[in-house]
Amino acid sequence: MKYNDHSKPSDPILLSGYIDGEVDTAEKEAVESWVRESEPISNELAALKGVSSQIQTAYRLQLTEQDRSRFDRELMRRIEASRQEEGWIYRLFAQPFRSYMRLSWQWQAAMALLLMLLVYLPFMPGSTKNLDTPIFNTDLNGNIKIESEQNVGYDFILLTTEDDKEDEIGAPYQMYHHT
Amino acid sequence: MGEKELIQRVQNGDTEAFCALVESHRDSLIHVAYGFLHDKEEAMDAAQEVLLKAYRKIQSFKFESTFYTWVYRILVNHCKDRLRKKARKPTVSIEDLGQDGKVFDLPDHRSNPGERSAAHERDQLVRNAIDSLPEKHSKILLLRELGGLSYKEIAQVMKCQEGTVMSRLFHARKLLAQKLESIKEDLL
Repeated sequence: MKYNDHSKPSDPILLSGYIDGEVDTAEKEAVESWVRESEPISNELAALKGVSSQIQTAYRLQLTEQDRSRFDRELMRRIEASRQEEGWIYRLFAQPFRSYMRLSWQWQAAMALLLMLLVYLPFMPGSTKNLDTPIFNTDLNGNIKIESEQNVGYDFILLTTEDDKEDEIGAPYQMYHHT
Repeated sequence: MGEKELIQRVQNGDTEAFCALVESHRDSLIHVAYGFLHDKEEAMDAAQEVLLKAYRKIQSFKFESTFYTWVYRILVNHCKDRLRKKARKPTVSIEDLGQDGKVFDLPDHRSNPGERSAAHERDQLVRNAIDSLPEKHSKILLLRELGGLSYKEIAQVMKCQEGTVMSRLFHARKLLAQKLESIKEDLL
């Protein structure tokens, strides 16, 4: 049976399927046989068909060619108005995004990964100047510092083996020591 | 051209492809909307709004169902929303009122005015009876009787099994028959 393996020819819901032509050949023959043999079922089938007919009558609607043309024209007008509202900026971004969303999830993931790599590439290690803190005995430009007791006015970070010190405003700094 | 190709063309911005896509189902969409809204102009307006929604959302259509079942699903929800809004503010258009103040939806070309009036009342009773059915029954009845959708298509629209569609249709028709029978007895 098409809809219910356990349905017997006496299942009344098949009457509905029979009216709509939605039962297979075996079910159709079973229903027809049942209707022939049972007057109540025959009456029920007639009642159900009558209901369908009454619905068709109650909701009869005549659509003329004029109605159809008017409908199509108005629909196109609404669609064009909707497209105009979007604006060129929206279309500039929306169109690529829509194309992207139409891809399968595998392609979406691959493209997202590619985009991430393109953004990250300039910042990968070795690709730019080393911005780490300077080496122990060099200044920020990489020049080796010359130890001196004089104040040479270097404006760089001093390293120390002593405890941290603080300047006049309390900012910590470290003294460079000659070893 | 197949449905899939037409949809892909619409997704690329071809509005004429959209026209071709909707042409074969335009009448039944309007008819189903009429079943919910009971007014021809309103039904045509609702069908246009639904198709406009479908056009705007066509990029997100993933071919998991047919285009038409997708549109019918939008249509059913849209009509129900309209009815809810209307229920809050009931109005009747002046053009819809006949000389006797009753609402006419469609001119009846039967020759006898008495016959026309009786037929109109009978039609109104049927519509009221359908509107009074549980929502799952009335929706399925209108989709089948007015939209002509197959059980498979209705199952996709209503998100249920085909067997459930057949069962609900049977019970909907039976309920309606009982309601109409009791109304007829009351009138006699």
